[in-house]
Amino acid sequence: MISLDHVWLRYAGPAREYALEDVSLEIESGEFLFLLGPSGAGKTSILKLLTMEEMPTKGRVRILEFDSSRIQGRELPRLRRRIGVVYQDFRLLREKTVFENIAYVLRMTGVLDASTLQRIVLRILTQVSLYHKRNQFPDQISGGEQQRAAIGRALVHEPRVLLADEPTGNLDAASANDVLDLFRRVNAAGATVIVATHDESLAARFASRTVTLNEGRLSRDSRPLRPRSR
Amino acid sequence: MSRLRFFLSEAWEIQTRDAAGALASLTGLTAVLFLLAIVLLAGLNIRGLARNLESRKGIEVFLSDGIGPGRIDELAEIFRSFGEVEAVVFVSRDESLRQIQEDLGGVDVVSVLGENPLAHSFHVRLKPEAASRPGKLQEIAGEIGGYDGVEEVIDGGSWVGALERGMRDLYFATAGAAILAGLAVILVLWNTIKLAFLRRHETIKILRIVGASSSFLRFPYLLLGAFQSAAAALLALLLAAAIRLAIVQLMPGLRFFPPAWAAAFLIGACLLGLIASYASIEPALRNLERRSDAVTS
Repeated sequence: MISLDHVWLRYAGPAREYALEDVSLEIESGEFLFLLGPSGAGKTSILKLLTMEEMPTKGRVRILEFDSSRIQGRELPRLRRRIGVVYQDFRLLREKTVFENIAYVLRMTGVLDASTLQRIVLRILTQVSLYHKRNQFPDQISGGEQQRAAIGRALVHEPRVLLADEPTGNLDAASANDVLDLFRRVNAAGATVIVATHDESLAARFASRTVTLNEGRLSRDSRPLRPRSR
Repeated sequence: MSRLRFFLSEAWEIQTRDAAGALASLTGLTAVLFLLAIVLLAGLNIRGLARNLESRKGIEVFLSDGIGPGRIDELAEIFRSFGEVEAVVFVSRDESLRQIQEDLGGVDVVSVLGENPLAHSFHVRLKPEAASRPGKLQEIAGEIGGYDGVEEVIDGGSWVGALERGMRDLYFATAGAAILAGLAVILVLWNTIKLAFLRRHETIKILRIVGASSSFLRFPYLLLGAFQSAAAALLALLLAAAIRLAIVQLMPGLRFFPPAWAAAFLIGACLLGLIASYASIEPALRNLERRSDAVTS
Protein backbone atom coordinates (compact mmCIF):
# COMPACT_ATOMS: atom_id res chain seq x y z
CA MET A 1 0.00 0.00 0.00
CA ILE A 2 2.98 2.32 0.61
CA SER A 3 6.13 1.83 -1.34
CA LEU A 4 9.34 3.65 -2.03
CA ASP A 5 11.03 2.21 -5.07
CA HIS A 6 14.74 3.07 -5.42
CA VAL A 7 14.11 6.60 -4.25
CA TRP A 8 16.77 9.27 -4.45
CA LEU A 9 16.16 12.78 -3.18
CA ARG A 10 18.31 15.86 -3.55
CA TYR A 11 17.20 19.32 -2.46
CA ALA A 12 17.89 22.32 -4.66
CA GLY A 13 20.78 24.48 -3.50
CA PRO A 14 24.54 24.47 -3.33
CA ALA A 15 24.79 21.13 -1.47
CA ARG A 16 25.28 18.28 -3.91
CA GLU A 17 24.59 15.49 -1.43
CA TYR A 18 21.49 13.41 -1.62
CA ALA A 19 19.11 13.51 1.35
CA LEU A 20 18.02 10.00 0.41
CA GLU A 21 19.99 7.49 -1.61
CA ASP A 22 18.40 4.51 -3.27
CA VAL A 23 15.80 3.86 -0.56
CA SER A 24 13.35 1.06 -1.19
CA LEU A 25 10.67 0.25 1.33
CA GLU A 26 7.33 -1.53 1.38
CA ILE A 27 4.82 -0.84 4.14
CA GLU A 28 1.70 -2.93 4.38
CA SER A 29 -1.70 -1.50 5.09
CA GLY A 30 -2.35 -1.40 8.85
CA GLU A 31 1.32 -1.61 9.85
CA PHE A 32 2.85 0.35 12.75
CA LEU A 33 6.34 1.41 11.77
CA PHE A 34 9.08 3.41 13.44
CA LEU A 35 11.51 5.30 11.24
CA LEU A 36 14.65 5.55 13.32
CA GLY A 37 17.81 7.52 12.78
CA PRO A 38 19.79 10.50 13.99
CA SER A 39 19.03 14.02 12.94
CA GLY A 40 19.67 14.47 9.18
CA ALA A 41 19.30 10.77 8.45
CA GLY A 42 16.41 11.38 6.05
CA LYS A 43 13.36 10.54 8.22
CA THR A 44 11.56 13.82 7.58
CA SER A 45 12.42 13.58 3.89
CA ILE A 46 10.62 10.25 3.70
CA LEU A 47 7.54 11.74 5.38
CA LYS A 48 7.64 14.67 2.95
CA LEU A 49 7.81 12.25 0.06
CA LEU A 50 4.80 10.38 1.40
CA THR A 51 2.71 13.57 1.55
CA MET A 52 4.26 14.51 -1.82
CA GLU A 53 5.39 17.81 -0.39
CA GLU A 54 8.59 16.80 -2.13
CA MET A 55 8.95 14.68 -5.24
CA PRO A 56 11.76 12.14 -5.64
CA THR A 57 14.72 13.16 -7.75
CA LYS A 58 14.87 9.57 -8.94
CA GLY A 59 12.67 6.58 -8.23
CA ARG A 60 9.02 6.37 -7.37
CA VAL A 61 6.76 6.71 -4.34
CA ARG A 62 3.36 5.06 -4.13
CA ILE A 63 0.86 5.68 -1.37
CA LEU A 64 -2.80 4.67 -1.32
CA GLU A 65 -3.74 4.87 -5.01
CA PHE A 66 -1.37 7.76 -5.74
CA ASP A 67 1.89 7.48 -7.62
CA SER A 68 4.55 10.22 -7.55
CA SER A 69 5.38 9.62 -11.21
CA ARG A 70 1.83 10.30 -12.34
CA ILE A 71 0.16 12.52 -9.77
CA GLN A 72 -1.16 15.90 -10.91
CA GLY A 73 -0.97 19.02 -8.74
CA ARG A 74 -4.76 19.15 -8.40
CA GLU A 75 -4.79 15.60 -6.94
CA LEU A 76 -2.49 16.47 -4.04
CA PRO A 77 -5.26 17.80 -1.75
CA ARG A 78 -7.18 14.53 -2.22
CA LEU A 79 -4.11 12.55 -1.14
CA ARG A 80 -3.34 14.81 1.82
CA ARG A 81 -6.91 14.70 3.07
CA ARG A 82 -6.51 10.95 3.48
CA ILE A 83 -3.29 11.26 5.44
CA GLY A 84 -2.85 12.74 8.89
CA VAL A 85 0.49 14.38 9.60
CA VAL A 86 1.96 15.48 12.92
CA TYR A 87 4.81 17.86 12.15
CA GLN A 88 7.83 18.32 14.33
CA ASP A 89 7.21 22.09 14.30
CA PHE A 90 3.42 21.54 14.74
CA ARG A 91 2.46 23.89 11.89
CA LEU A 92 -0.63 25.13 13.69
CA LEU A 93 -2.54 28.16 12.44
CA ARG A 94 -1.45 30.98 14.77
CA GLU A 95 -4.60 33.05 14.24
CA LYS A 96 -7.00 30.20 15.00
CA THR A 97 -7.95 28.69 18.31
CA VAL A 98 -7.12 25.08 19.14
CA PHE A 99 -10.74 24.17 18.31
CA GLU A 100 -10.59 26.00 14.97
CA ASN A 101 -7.25 24.44 14.06
CA ILE A 102 -8.79 21.00 14.35
CA ALA A 103 -12.15 21.98 12.85
CA TYR A 104 -10.46 23.45 9.79
CA VAL A 105 -9.37 20.04 8.53
CA LEU A 106 -12.91 18.72 8.84
CA ARG A 107 -14.25 21.71 6.93
CA MET A 108 -11.80 20.96 4.13
CA THR A 109 -13.16 17.45 3.90
CA GLY A 110 -16.67 18.83 3.56
CA VAL A 111 -17.99 18.55 7.13
CA LEU A 112 -19.62 21.93 7.54
CA ASP A 113 -22.65 21.22 9.66
CA ALA A 114 -21.94 23.07 12.90
CA SER A 115 -23.32 20.46 15.31
CA THR A 116 -21.53 17.53 13.61
CA LEU A 117 -18.33 19.53 13.55
CA GLN A 118 -18.66 20.45 17.21
CA ARG A 119 -19.30 16.84 18.22
CA ILE A 120 -16.32 15.41 16.32
CA VAL A 121 -13.86 18.12 17.36
CA LEU A 122 -14.84 17.94 21.03
CA ARG A 123 -14.35 14.17 20.99
CA ILE A 124 -10.85 14.59 19.56
CA LEU A 125 -10.05 17.39 21.99
CA THR A 126 -10.97 15.07 24.85
CA GLN A 127 -8.80 12.30 23.41
CA VAL A 128 -5.76 14.58 23.29
CA SER A 129 -6.64 16.14 26.69
CA LEU A 130 -7.10 19.63 25.34
CA TYR A 131 -10.80 20.19 25.94
CA HIS A 132 -10.04 22.86 28.53
CA LYS A 133 -7.72 24.68 26.11
CA ARG A 134 -10.07 24.62 23.14
CA ASN A 135 -10.54 28.39 22.96
CA GLN A 136 -6.86 29.26 23.38
CA PHE A 137 -4.58 30.26 20.53
CA PRO A 138 -1.41 28.21 19.85
CA ASP A 139 0.81 30.96 21.27
CA GLN A 140 -1.12 30.79 24.54
CA ILE A 141 -0.42 27.10 25.21
CA SER A 142 2.74 25.11 25.98
CA GLY A 143 4.85 23.22 23.44
CA GLY A 144 3.44 19.90 24.64
CA GLU A 145 -0.10 21.18 24.26
CA GLN A 146 0.67 22.45 20.78
CA GLN A 147 2.03 18.99 20.01
CA ARG A 148 -1.25 17.45 21.18
CA ALA A 149 -3.27 19.98 19.19
CA ALA A 150 -1.28 18.99 16.10
CA ILE A 151 -2.00 15.33 16.86
CA GLY A 152 -5.71 16.14 17.23
CA ARG A 153 -5.67 17.87 13.87
CA ALA A 154 -3.94 14.88 12.26
CA LEU A 155 -6.51 12.44 13.63
CA VAL A 156 -9.78 14.32 13.34
CA HIS A 157 -10.64 13.20 9.81
CA GLU A 158 -9.81 9.54 10.59
CA PRO A 159 -6.97 9.23 8.09
CA ARG A 160 -5.98 5.93 6.52
CA VAL A 161 -2.33 6.79 7.06
CA LEU A 162 -0.90 8.67 10.03
CA LEU A 163 2.59 10.15 9.76
CA ALA A 164 4.24 11.63 12.82
CA ASP A 165 7.58 13.42 12.87
CA GLU A 166 9.14 13.35 16.35
CA PRO A 167 5.66 13.45 17.91
CA THR A 168 6.95 13.08 21.45
CA GLY A 169 9.84 15.51 21.17
CA ASN A 170 8.15 18.12 23.35
CA LEU A 171 6.49 15.75 25.78
CA ASP A 172 7.46 14.26 29.11
CA ALA A 173 7.69 10.46 29.39
CA ALA A 174 4.11 10.02 30.62
CA SER A 175 2.62 12.23 27.90
CA ALA A 176 4.80 10.51 25.28
CA ASN A 177 3.38 7.15 26.33
CA ASP A 178 -0.16 8.55 26.17
CA VAL A 179 0.47 9.79 22.63
CA LEU A 180 1.89 6.47 21.51
CA ASP A 181 -1.06 4.65 23.12
CA LEU A 182 -3.32 6.91 21.12
CA PHE A 183 -1.40 6.02 17.95
CA ARG A 184 -1.76 2.35 18.86
CA ARG A 185 -5.53 2.75 19.07
CA VAL A 186 -5.57 4.55 15.71
CA ASN A 187 -3.49 1.69 14.29
CA ALA A 188 -5.79 -0.90 15.84
CA ALA A 189 -8.70 0.84 14.13
CA GLY A 190 -7.04 0.05 10.79
CA ALA A 191 -4.82 3.02 9.99
CA THR A 192 -1.21 2.65 8.94
CA VAL A 193 1.02 4.57 11.36
CA ILE A 194 4.56 5.73 10.63
CA VAL A 195 6.45 7.45 13.44
CA ALA A 196 9.77 9.14 12.70
CA THR A 197 11.96 9.48 15.78
CA HIS A 198 15.59 9.59 16.83
CA ASP A 199 14.62 8.02 20.18
CA GLU A 200 15.47 4.31 19.97
CA SER A 201 14.10 3.62 23.44
CA LEU A 202 10.69 4.83 22.33
CA ALA A 203 10.62 2.29 19.51
CA ALA A 204 12.01 -0.40 21.79
CA ARG A 205 8.99 -0.10 24.06
CA PHE A 206 6.71 -1.25 21.25
CA ALA A 207 6.92 -4.50 19.41
CA SER A 208 6.78 -2.86 16.03
CA ARG A 209 8.71 -2.88 12.81
CA THR A 210 11.59 -0.41 12.84
CA VAL A 211 13.39 0.92 9.81
CA THR A 212 16.70 2.60 10.52
CA LEU A 213 18.13 5.29 8.29
CA ASN A 214 21.68 6.54 8.28
CA GLU A 215 22.96 9.37 6.12
CA GLY A 216 20.09 8.98 3.71
CA ARG A 217 20.46 5.23 3.34
CA LEU A 218 18.28 2.50 4.73
CA SER A 219 20.58 0.59 7.07
CA ARG A 220 18.26 -1.82 8.89
CA ASP A 221 14.70 -3.09 8.63
CA SER A 222 13.72 -5.19 11.62
CA ARG A 223 10.34 -6.75 12.13
CA PRO A 224 9.06 -7.90 15.52
CA LEU A 225 9.33 -11.57 16.23
CA ARG A 226 5.98 -13.27 16.06
CA PRO A 227 5.23 -16.27 18.25
CA ARG A 228 5.37 -19.44 16.18
CA SER A 229 2.06 -21.09 15.60
CA ARG A 230 1.91 -24.63 16.78
CA MET B 1 -25.53 27.45 3.17
CA SER B 2 -23.17 26.64 6.04
CA ARG B 3 -20.37 26.41 3.46
CA LEU B 4 -21.11 29.92 2.24
CA ARG B 5 -21.36 31.16 5.83
CA PHE B 6 -17.94 29.66 6.55
CA PHE B 7 -16.34 31.29 3.51
CA LEU B 8 -18.01 34.61 4.31
CA SER B 9 -16.57 34.52 7.81
CA GLU B 10 -13.14 33.67 6.37
CA ALA B 11 -13.35 36.59 3.93
CA TRP B 12 -14.42 38.89 6.76
CA GLU B 13 -11.53 37.68 8.91
CA ILE B 14 -9.00 38.29 6.13
CA GLN B 15 -10.41 41.79 5.69
CA THR B 16 -10.49 42.71 9.37
CA ARG B 17 -7.00 41.33 9.99
CA ASP B 18 -5.70 44.23 7.92
CA ALA B 19 -8.38 46.87 8.45
CA ALA B 20 -6.10 49.73 7.35
CA GLY B 21 -5.23 48.01 4.08
CA ALA B 22 -8.88 47.17 3.46
CA LEU B 23 -9.89 50.77 4.13
CA ALA B 24 -7.19 52.11 1.80
CA SER B 25 -8.31 49.74 -0.92
CA LEU B 26 -11.98 50.64 -0.40
CA THR B 27 -11.15 54.34 -0.62
CA GLY B 28 -9.15 53.88 -3.83
CA LEU B 29 -11.88 51.76 -5.42
CA THR B 30 -14.59 54.21 -4.37
CA ALA B 31 -12.65 57.12 -5.90
CA VAL B 32 -12.20 55.31 -9.21
CA LEU B 33 -15.80 54.12 -9.37
CA PHE B 34 -17.09 57.54 -8.34
CA LEU B 35 -15.25 59.13 -11.30
CA LEU B 36 -16.72 56.47 -13.56
CA ALA B 37 -20.20 57.14 -12.16
CA ILE B 38 -19.79 60.87 -12.87
CA VAL B 39 -18.66 60.18 -16.46
CA LEU B 40 -21.60 57.81 -16.98
CA LEU B 41 -23.99 60.29 -15.42
CA ALA B 42 -22.75 63.06 -17.72
CA GLY B 43 -23.08 60.69 -20.67
CA LEU B 44 -26.61 59.77 -19.63
CA ASN B 45 -27.69 63.40 -19.41
CA ILE B 46 -26.01 64.44 -22.65
CA ARG B 47 -27.61 61.50 -24.41
CA GLY B 48 -31.02 62.54 -23.08
CA LEU B 49 -30.47 66.07 -24.35
CA ALA B 50 -29.31 64.79 -27.73
CA ARG B 51 -32.37 62.56 -28.07
CA ASN B 52 -34.53 65.54 -27.35
CA LEU B 53 -32.79 67.49 -30.09
CA GLU B 54 -32.95 64.57 -32.48
CA SER B 55 -36.70 64.37 -32.06
CA ARG B 56 -36.83 67.83 -33.60
CA LYS B 57 -34.91 66.79 -36.71
CA GLY B 58 -36.32 68.40 -39.87
CA ILE B 59 -36.42 71.86 -41.44
CA GLU B 60 -36.92 74.86 -39.19
CA VAL B 61 -38.50 77.74 -41.09
CA PHE B 62 -38.31 81.07 -39.22
CA LEU B 63 -40.84 83.62 -40.36
CA SER B 64 -40.33 87.38 -40.70
CA ASP B 65 -41.29 89.70 -37.87
CA GLY B 66 -44.76 91.13 -38.24
CA ILE B 67 -46.04 88.44 -40.60
CA GLY B 68 -49.82 88.20 -40.50
CA PRO B 69 -51.87 85.10 -39.69
CA GLY B 70 -53.24 84.96 -43.23
CA ARG B 71 -49.78 84.71 -44.78
CA ILE B 72 -48.79 82.11 -42.16
CA ASP B 73 -51.75 79.89 -43.17
CA GLU B 74 -50.96 80.41 -46.84
CA LEU B 75 -47.32 79.41 -46.44
CA ALA B 76 -48.30 76.36 -44.40
CA GLU B 77 -50.66 75.26 -47.18
CA ILE B 78 -47.99 75.74 -49.86
CA PHE B 79 -45.38 73.76 -47.95
CA ARG B 80 -47.86 70.98 -47.21
CA SER B 81 -48.53 70.64 -50.92
CA PHE B 82 -44.91 69.63 -51.59
CA GLY B 83 -44.84 65.93 -52.44
CA GLU B 84 -41.83 65.29 -50.17
CA VAL B 85 -43.36 66.94 -47.12
CA GLU B 86 -45.13 64.80 -44.56
CA ALA B 87 -46.16 67.46 -42.06
CA VAL B 88 -45.90 71.17 -41.38
CA VAL B 89 -46.29 72.22 -37.77
CA PHE B 90 -46.66 75.85 -36.83
CA VAL B 91 -44.77 76.88 -33.70
CA SER B 92 -45.67 80.28 -32.34
CA ARG B 93 -42.96 82.47 -30.82
CA ASP B 94 -44.58 81.95 -27.38
CA GLU B 95 -44.53 78.20 -27.83
CA SER B 96 -40.83 78.34 -28.87
CA LEU B 97 -40.05 80.41 -25.81
CA ARG B 98 -41.82 77.92 -23.58
CA GLN B 99 -39.85 75.01 -25.10
CA ILE B 100 -36.51 76.77 -24.73
CA GLN B 101 -37.23 77.68 -21.14
CA GLU B 102 -38.12 74.05 -20.50
CA ASP B 103 -34.86 72.85 -22.11
CA LEU B 104 -32.88 75.28 -19.98
CA GLY B 105 -34.44 73.93 -16.88
CA GLY B 106 -36.94 76.69 -16.25
CA VAL B 107 -34.69 79.70 -16.76
CA ASP B 108 -36.85 82.79 -17.38
CA VAL B 109 -35.42 83.95 -20.73
CA VAL B 110 -37.67 87.03 -21.00
CA SER B 111 -36.53 88.38 -17.65
CA VAL B 112 -32.93 87.88 -18.74
CA LEU B 113 -33.24 89.35 -22.26
CA GLY B 114 -36.06 91.81 -21.63
CA GLU B 115 -38.34 90.43 -24.38
CA ASN B 116 -39.10 87.27 -26.32
CA PRO B 117 -36.38 87.25 -29.01
CA LEU B 118 -37.89 84.33 -30.94
CA ALA B 119 -39.85 84.35 -34.20
CA HIS B 120 -42.87 82.33 -35.35
CA SER B 121 -41.70 79.22 -37.15
CA PHE B 122 -42.72 76.11 -39.01
CA HIS B 123 -41.26 72.71 -38.33
CA VAL B 124 -41.32 70.92 -41.68
CA ARG B 125 -40.93 67.17 -41.57
CA LEU B 126 -40.15 65.25 -44.78
CA LYS B 127 -41.54 61.86 -45.67
CA PRO B 128 -38.99 59.17 -44.62
CA GLU B 129 -38.13 58.22 -48.22
CA ALA B 130 -37.40 61.88 -49.07
CA ALA B 131 -35.54 62.57 -45.82
CA SER B 132 -33.23 59.64 -46.40
CA ARG B 133 -32.28 60.88 -49.91
CA PRO B 134 -28.93 62.73 -49.79
CA GLY B 135 -29.32 66.47 -50.36
CA LYS B 136 -33.12 66.40 -50.41
CA LEU B 137 -33.40 68.18 -47.08
CA GLN B 138 -31.15 70.98 -48.30
CA GLU B 139 -32.99 71.19 -51.66
CA ILE B 140 -36.44 71.61 -50.04
CA ALA B 141 -34.95 74.03 -47.49
CA GLY B 142 -33.57 76.16 -50.34
CA GLU B 143 -36.92 76.24 -52.08
CA ILE B 144 -38.78 77.19 -48.90
CA GLY B 145 -36.24 79.96 -48.26
CA GLY B 146 -37.27 81.67 -51.50
CA TYR B 147 -40.82 82.45 -50.34
CA ASP B 148 -41.81 85.87 -49.19
CA GLY B 149 -42.33 86.03 -45.42
CA VAL B 150 -39.62 83.46 -44.73
CA GLU B 151 -36.76 85.03 -42.80
CA GLU B 152 -34.42 82.09 -42.38
CA VAL B 153 -34.38 78.36 -43.03
CA ILE B 154 -32.28 75.91 -41.08
CA ASP B 155 -32.11 72.44 -42.47
CA GLY B 156 -31.08 69.89 -39.90
CA GLY B 157 -28.32 68.46 -42.14
CA SER B 158 -25.35 70.15 -40.56
CA TRP B 159 -26.40 69.95 -36.91
CA VAL B 160 -27.70 66.41 -37.25
CA GLY B 161 -24.31 65.41 -38.58
CA ALA B 162 -22.61 67.31 -35.79
CA LEU B 163 -24.95 65.75 -33.26
CA GLU B 164 -24.23 62.25 -34.56
CA ARG B 165 -20.51 62.93 -34.50
CA GLY B 166 -20.80 64.35 -31.01
CA MET B 167 -22.77 61.34 -29.80
CA ARG B 168 -20.25 58.98 -31.33
CA ASP B 169 -17.44 60.84 -29.60
CA LEU B 170 -19.40 60.74 -26.36
CA TYR B 171 -19.85 56.97 -26.60
CA PHE B 172 -16.15 56.49 -27.28
CA ALA B 173 -15.21 58.78 -24.39
CA THR B 174 -17.59 56.97 -22.02
CA ALA B 175 -16.37 53.57 -23.18
CA GLY B 176 -12.76 54.74 -22.78
CA ALA B 177 -13.45 56.03 -19.29
CA ALA B 178 -15.22 52.78 -18.39
CA ILE B 179 -12.26 50.70 -19.65
CA LEU B 180 -9.77 52.87 -17.75
CA ALA B 181 -11.88 52.68 -14.59
CA GLY B 182 -12.21 48.92 -15.02
CA LEU B 183 -8.45 48.55 -15.36
CA ALA B 184 -7.89 50.78 -12.31
CA VAL B 185 -10.35 48.69 -10.26
CA ILE B 186 -8.58 45.51 -11.34
CA LEU B 187 -5.18 46.99 -10.50
CA VAL B 188 -6.21 48.22 -7.03
CA LEU B 189 -7.94 44.95 -6.17
CA TRP B 190 -5.17 42.85 -7.68
CA ASN B 191 -2.73 44.53 -5.30
CA THR B 192 -5.02 44.38 -2.29
CA ILE B 193 -5.80 40.69 -2.71
CA LYS B 194 -2.16 39.87 -3.45
CA LEU B 195 -1.07 41.62 -0.25
CA ALA B 196 -3.80 39.88 1.77
CA PHE B 197 -2.67 36.57 0.29
CA LEU B 198 1.01 37.22 1.02
CA ARG B 199 0.21 38.23 4.59
CA ARG B 200 -1.45 34.82 5.03
CA HIS B 201 1.20 32.94 3.11
CA GLU B 202 2.31 30.78 6.04
CA THR B 203 -1.29 29.90 6.89
CA ILE B 204 -1.99 29.01 3.29
CA LYS B 205 1.10 26.82 3.11
CA ILE B 206 -0.07 24.94 6.19
CA LEU B 207 -3.59 24.59 4.83
CA ARG B 208 -2.12 23.32 1.59
CA ILE B 209 -0.12 20.56 3.25
CA VAL B 210 -3.04 19.43 5.39
CA GLY B 211 -5.13 19.02 2.24
CA ALA B 212 -6.86 22.27 1.32
CA SER B 213 -7.84 22.35 -2.34
CA SER B 214 -7.27 25.40 -4.53
CA SER B 215 -10.98 26.21 -4.59
CA PHE B 216 -11.13 26.05 -0.78
CA LEU B 217 -8.24 28.50 -0.54
CA ARG B 218 -9.43 30.68 -3.40
CA PHE B 219 -13.08 31.20 -2.48
CA PRO B 220 -12.68 33.60 0.48
CA TYR B 221 -10.46 35.84 -1.66
CA LEU B 222 -12.99 35.88 -4.49
CA LEU B 223 -15.68 36.88 -2.00
CA LEU B 224 -13.38 39.54 -0.58
CA GLY B 225 -12.76 41.04 -4.04
CA ALA B 226 -16.44 40.97 -4.94
CA PHE B 227 -17.44 42.56 -1.61
CA GLN B 228 -14.87 45.30 -1.73
CA SER B 229 -15.78 46.32 -5.25
CA ALA B 230 -19.54 46.08 -4.58
CA ALA B 231 -19.18 48.19 -1.43
CA ALA B 232 -17.06 50.73 -3.33
CA ALA B 233 -19.61 50.83 -6.17
CA LEU B 234 -22.43 51.42 -3.68
CA LEU B 235 -20.48 54.23 -2.01
CA ALA B 236 -19.66 55.74 -5.42
CA LEU B 237 -23.36 55.69 -6.39
CA LEU B 238 -24.36 57.29 -3.08
CA LEU B 239 -21.73 60.02 -3.55
CA ALA B 240 -22.88 60.65 -7.13
CA ALA B 241 -26.51 60.81 -5.94
CA ALA B 242 -25.53 63.32 -3.24
CA ILE B 243 -23.72 65.48 -5.78
CA ARG B 244 -26.65 65.35 -8.18
CA LEU B 245 -28.95 66.34 -5.31
CA ALA B 246 -26.70 69.30 -4.54
CA ILE B 247 -26.63 70.69 -8.09
CA VAL B 248 -30.11 69.75 -9.26
CA GLN B 249 -31.30 73.18 -8.03
CA LEU B 250 -29.06 74.80 -10.64
CA MET B 251 -29.83 72.28 -13.38
CA PRO B 252 -33.40 71.10 -12.80
CA GLY B 253 -33.46 68.58 -15.67
CA LEU B 254 -30.44 66.63 -14.37
CA ARG B 255 -31.24 62.93 -14.29
CA PHE B 256 -29.82 60.15 -12.11
CA PHE B 257 -29.24 56.53 -13.11
CA PRO B 258 -32.41 54.51 -13.63
CA PRO B 259 -32.54 51.49 -11.26
CA ALA B 260 -31.43 49.09 -14.02
CA TRP B 261 -28.30 51.18 -14.65
CA ALA B 262 -27.48 51.34 -10.95
CA ALA B 263 -27.93 47.57 -10.65
CA ALA B 264 -25.71 47.02 -13.71
CA PHE B 265 -23.09 49.31 -12.17
CA LEU B 266 -23.07 47.26 -8.95
CA ILE B 267 -23.05 43.90 -10.73
CA GLY B 268 -20.32 45.09 -13.11
CA ALA B 269 -18.17 46.20 -10.18
CA CYS B 270 -18.74 42.83 -8.49
CA LEU B 271 -17.66 40.98 -11.62
CA LEU B 272 -14.54 43.13 -11.91
CA GLY B 273 -13.79 42.32 -8.28
CA LEU B 274 -14.09 38.60 -8.98
CA ILE B 275 -11.86 38.83 -12.06
CA ALA B 276 -9.21 40.88 -10.22
CA SER B 277 -9.17 38.52 -7.22
CA TYR B 278 -8.94 35.46 -9.43
CA ALA B 279 -6.13 36.97 -11.51
CA SER B 280 -4.31 37.98 -8.34
CA ILE B 281 -4.24 34.71 -6.42
CA GLU B 282 -4.36 32.09 -9.16
CA PRO B 283 -0.65 32.27 -10.10
CA ALA B 284 0.34 32.18 -6.40
CA LEU B 285 -1.89 29.15 -5.79
CA ARG B 286 -0.54 27.38 -8.84
CA ASN B 287 2.98 28.14 -7.72
CA LEU B 288 2.20 26.69 -4.30
CA GLU B 289 0.79 23.54 -5.90
CA ARG B 290 3.92 22.87 -7.94
CA ARG B 291 6.46 23.97 -5.38
CA SER B 292 8.96 21.39 -4.26
CA ASP B 293 12.40 22.09 -2.90
CA ALA B 294 13.71 18.86 -4.31
CA VAL B 295 15.55 18.54 -7.60
CA THR B 296 13.36 16.43 -9.82
CA SER B 297 14.65 14.70 -12.90
